[in-house]
Amino acid sequence: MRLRAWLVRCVGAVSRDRSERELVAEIESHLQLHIDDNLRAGLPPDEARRAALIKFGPVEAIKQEYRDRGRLPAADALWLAIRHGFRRLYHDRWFTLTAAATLAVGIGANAAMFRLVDALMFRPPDHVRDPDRVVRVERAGNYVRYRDLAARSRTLDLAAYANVVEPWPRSRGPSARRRVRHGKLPAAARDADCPRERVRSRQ
Amino acid sequence: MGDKTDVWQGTLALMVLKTLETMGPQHGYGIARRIEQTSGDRLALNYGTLYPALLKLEQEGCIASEWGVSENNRRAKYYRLTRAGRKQIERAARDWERTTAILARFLAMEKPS
Repeated sequence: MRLRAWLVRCVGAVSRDRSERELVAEIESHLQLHIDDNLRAGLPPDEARRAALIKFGPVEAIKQEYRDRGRLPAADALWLAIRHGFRRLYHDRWFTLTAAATLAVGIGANAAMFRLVDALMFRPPDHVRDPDRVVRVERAGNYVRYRDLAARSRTLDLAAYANVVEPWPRSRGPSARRRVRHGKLPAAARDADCPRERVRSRQ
Repeated sequence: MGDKTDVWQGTLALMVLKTLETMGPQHGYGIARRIEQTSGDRLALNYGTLYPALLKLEQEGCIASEWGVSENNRRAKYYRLTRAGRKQIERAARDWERTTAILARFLAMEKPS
């Protein structure tokens, strides 16, 4: 029952004009009925109305109590605050536009940078089927040496050669990520169990 | 005000429900008059205070309202009891009886002589 009352009040917070008009009509009708009774009891018209009003009590205070019960006072206050906020923003239009533009550029630039870095550095290239089996052979020397390695290696399919200077610092150590930099490299170990080791040029 | 008693919210709600139960659908003014009569004019009731109470009862689903025409041709909003309202009367009446019974025992206490 409480929940129901609360829901009704939420709705009331939205449709307050209607309930306000309805309350005024109801009070008017109440007074009219009372005045009719007073007239029938023999009071003069003025006196009849006055007595009815007195008996009804403080109209404005009762209206206020009715309003508070009809809606959620907190929601009302929040709504007022939001409207006030928007009015202020509209008042300082240039400030608002500048702030919005700054935010838009900032967010846009960040999103763009993120996409770029994400695509370039954190995701495997699209055309590599098995990225975690791709290895990079460092210091393989010149192209001739590469051809030799490719012909004689039994654990690796060597598929591409690149003589490129790394544009970013490479990480070292056993857990270092091995990165494919260049060319189409559908390279995968022939044998699934073979260790993915670095193949050094001077074997 | 003399010996007239102020009405507080909970009791007023129960009085409204009980009045609607006995009288059938009724407008706010009618309910107010009836409550006064039933109390033997011992209640100082500003009729206006009834409306917030009616709204609360309506929100809780105990009563429902619709506009109608009174016997002397005035438009008025009529309230009627709902099924939930009838249940609420039973519940509230039981609580009330229990409370008064407990209080009665305290009032009946006598000083040990």
